[in-house]
Amino acid sequence: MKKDNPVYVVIFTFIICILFVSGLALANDLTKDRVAANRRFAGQSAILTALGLTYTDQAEAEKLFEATVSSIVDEAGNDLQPPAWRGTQENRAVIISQFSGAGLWGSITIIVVADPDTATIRGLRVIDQNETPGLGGRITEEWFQEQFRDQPTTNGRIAVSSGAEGSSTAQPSSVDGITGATRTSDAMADITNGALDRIRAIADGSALTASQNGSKQ
Amino acid sequence: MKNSPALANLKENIWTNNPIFVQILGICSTLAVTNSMRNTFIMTFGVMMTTALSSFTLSAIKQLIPRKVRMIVQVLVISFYVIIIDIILRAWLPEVSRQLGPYVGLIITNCIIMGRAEAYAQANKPLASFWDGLTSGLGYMLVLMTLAVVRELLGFGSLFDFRILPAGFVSWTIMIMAPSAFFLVAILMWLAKTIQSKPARKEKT
Repeated sequence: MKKDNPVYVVIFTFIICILFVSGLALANDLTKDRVAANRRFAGQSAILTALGLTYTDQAEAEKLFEATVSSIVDEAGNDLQPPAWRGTQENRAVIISQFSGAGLWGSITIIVVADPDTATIRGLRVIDQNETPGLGGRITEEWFQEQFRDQPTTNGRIAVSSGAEGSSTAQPSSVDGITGATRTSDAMADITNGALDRIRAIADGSALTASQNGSKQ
Repeated sequence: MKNSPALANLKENIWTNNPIFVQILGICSTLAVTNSMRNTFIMTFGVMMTTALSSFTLSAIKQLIPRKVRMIVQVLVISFYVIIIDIILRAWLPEVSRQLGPYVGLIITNCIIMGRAEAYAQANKPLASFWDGLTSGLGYMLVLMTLAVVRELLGFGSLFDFRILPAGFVSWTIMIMAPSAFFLVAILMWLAKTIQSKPARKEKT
């Protein structure tokens, strides 16, 4: 059959698509457990680090996670969306909530650990962000995230000061923002306060009714 | 592989016909990823492997490909290898995969890969095409790594995430953002073109 014959073209395209797509499906299938484990580990390690716990490897992290953290479900028994967990930190009950909000370029997703009454934030981790590298992107740096450890709030709210680094020391419920990234700093304050509101709603039970948890059909 | 044509091909792809300096291909990724040496290395390595493997495959099946669907098949083969690389990164280097984010997928649209498939793999043997793809990718990698050295050093004060410059060094924010890549690429092209055009000038006089 000639190469330019339409029948040949169709058959050739069909066969080559099948071959390559099957190859991809196979590769995906062979690695999917590993990929899922990586994703689970990424989530768990963010929560453990936010709780201030340390671990040496993936297996230990998994054990530690099972021992200290349990997922919160609503009245219908479904996981909350975004997920939230109860945990213990230094023999104290804490609530852990994942929360997302708009940053400067894209959405920022954080994990916040706080006392159920949100008087004190116990830890914070940024798990996903698309801010300007070197400016807003610095919210993933250790010094920024560690500021939230045992950070007291005022009526369950915090502020991220937009002045120079170090200017927040005067106000007790304020952490340093990032110089040159005012919009990202503001967004971090909004998202953190949103997470704190949610933690209070989880603690008083109002976030646990099935209608509040809009994720399921 | 015979030495002389392979060497000539290497020299051509790295210097006289460099994808960035001369063909001006693959500029988008040049602007996007070059503020960190580690990410640049992994991404350009991905481009190198994809170019080599897709050129090899396309050259191997070139007798069978109808001209009408030539480009569709090229894109299919290129996407196949890029997705394989993405899967490998997600399974074994999840941290890198997270940092590179969409840039791995965007290797598919890197014009260098399709350029080599069209310009070389169509008319040459599989092994020679593999070598051509590999060296083209290498030429691309060398230019991007040069940019990354300058940008990471001045933008973050580090190389491969190791702090090089003293803590008091005020980093140049512009180096981290895309605009710096524009003028650095331009400066590099200017330098390369100036050096490349020197022997020609001598011949004339």
